[in-house]
Amino acid sequence: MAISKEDIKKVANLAKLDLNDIEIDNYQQQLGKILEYIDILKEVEVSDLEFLGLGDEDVNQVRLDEASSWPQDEIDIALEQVIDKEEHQVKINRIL
Amino acid sequence: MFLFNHKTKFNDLSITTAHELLMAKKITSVELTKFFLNRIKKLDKKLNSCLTVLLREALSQAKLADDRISKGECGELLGIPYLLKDNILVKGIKTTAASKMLANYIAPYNATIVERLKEAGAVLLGKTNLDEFAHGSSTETSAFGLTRNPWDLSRVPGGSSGGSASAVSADFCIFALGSDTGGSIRQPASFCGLSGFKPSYGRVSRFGLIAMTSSTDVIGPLTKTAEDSAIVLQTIAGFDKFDLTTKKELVPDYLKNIDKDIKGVRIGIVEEFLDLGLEPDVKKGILEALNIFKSLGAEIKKISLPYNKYSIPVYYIITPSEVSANLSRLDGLRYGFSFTYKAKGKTEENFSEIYKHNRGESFGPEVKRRIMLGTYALSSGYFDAYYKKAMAVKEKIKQEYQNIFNEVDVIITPSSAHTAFKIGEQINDNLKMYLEDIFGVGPSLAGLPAISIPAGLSQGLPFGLQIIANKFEEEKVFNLAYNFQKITNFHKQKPKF
Repeated sequence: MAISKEDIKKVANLAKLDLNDIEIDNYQQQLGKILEYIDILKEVEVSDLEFLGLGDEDVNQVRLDEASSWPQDEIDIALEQVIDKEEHQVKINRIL
Repeated sequence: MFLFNHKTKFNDLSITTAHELLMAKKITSVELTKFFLNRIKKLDKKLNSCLTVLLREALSQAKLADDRISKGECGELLGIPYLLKDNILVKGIKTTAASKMLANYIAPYNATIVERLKEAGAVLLGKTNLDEFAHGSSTETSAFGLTRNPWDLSRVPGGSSGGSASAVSADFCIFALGSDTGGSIRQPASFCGLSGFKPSYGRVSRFGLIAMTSSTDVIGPLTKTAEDSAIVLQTIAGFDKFDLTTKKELVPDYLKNIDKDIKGVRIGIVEEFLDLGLEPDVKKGILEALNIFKSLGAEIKKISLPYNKYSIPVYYIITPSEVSANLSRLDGLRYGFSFTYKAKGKTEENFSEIYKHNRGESFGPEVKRRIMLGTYALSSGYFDAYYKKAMAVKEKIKQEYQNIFNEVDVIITPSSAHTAFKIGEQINDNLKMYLEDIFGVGPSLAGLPAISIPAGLSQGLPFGLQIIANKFEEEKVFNLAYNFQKITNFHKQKPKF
């Protein structure tokens, strides 16, 4: 299936990826080829299926939504890697 | 048991033989650990199988293990040195997933399997190379350089657990852990002459495994024998409250009946697989292996899996879709690669641009390709045609396996159509690379246990056969593999490395 350069740019924007012109050209070709191959799935008849995806053994398991304490040393390791922080909180640029 | 003296090399030790020597106090864990650390130091320049080596930590764990042994503890992994794929978290240690994005990431906590191996007293030597975020079949997409195959340094070790496979094959450790999403343990095991086991989905906790495709990711062992795989699985398997897809039922004893004879076991052989471009030696080897199973009393039944041909297209919709969602958390703000934020971190900087720069600069080409493909497949207007359709066909594939397991106990296939390919040979043909997983993906989509064990050599390179069983019937896989290895020597062949 052919895919346009504009589509590639749109998808890259949705995926939050900076792509240069060479990458855009490459992915346009490569994705087109892969999607063409994937089109073989059109020939499979699936209308007889009663459910999708999750079998009986994979039913959701639920637990209480409770805050549990995390060891302080693990919190410290995590926070050490933050680009910018203020009083144990991640500091980022203003969004609006 | 062989006699030990201080000139003995530990290259040939499996978990079972090393365990015997440790328990008989003929060797210590410190001696074992030093031996493997020295080998890595001396020889890994040739292979690049390890990304991190934990010299001090490994020796202190080995000392602890020796103490536990002297106090009478006798666990099978106590004091046994191992390596871990670098997409599995170890607290306080760098965990990179072989990506520039996580090049300096320090894991804040242990993966559940790491906790369990620690409790068992296994000694962690270091972290192994992989395809970036486990996206690949050759370990060529690592941001930290490719890994080579000890059987032939001009060839790939397979992937994505290529670092682990290469390291076990080169005797850098006694066993290693990998992860398998569509063949990433089994194909490298085949290329490097090892036993590589993928457990059923839900058998082993994924907590602390950097997610690729959450619906098919599984952690499993790469070992020198099938029995060793069973021993490792015994330790890492079971319910984990941090991964609610793990099964709550008790884990069976995988070693109890491993040596039971296989008289009357029904083996299915997928006829059409033997025509899928197999190298002549591989085809011959698989047919000879079937004769060996027959001589042990198994019944061989021809079967057909017509939906398997759709497994690759299904996989390459579901996988990129989940990849695009799983990797969306990596923005370079809380952790990971930050390109612009520090340099240009002004309030007027557009947030979306920061994300794009960080991700665009630090993800490699295969990771970007999968994110793009997944984002496309999930985007409005294409969701039904791609993702929904793929999920429906996945269900068909699962049902097909379930039906076949009414007729047979296990299925045997080649692990790969060929032996290890040359470095660079396939890296620019992504569709060809995706087809590498042709025998691996079906069991992954259906969540089934499967092992690759060595089945012969072709022009000096190893190839494997795959044994698949129904979900949570890992005992059957081990039983067949154990019986095969009892009367064959393929798994004992080693690279001249």
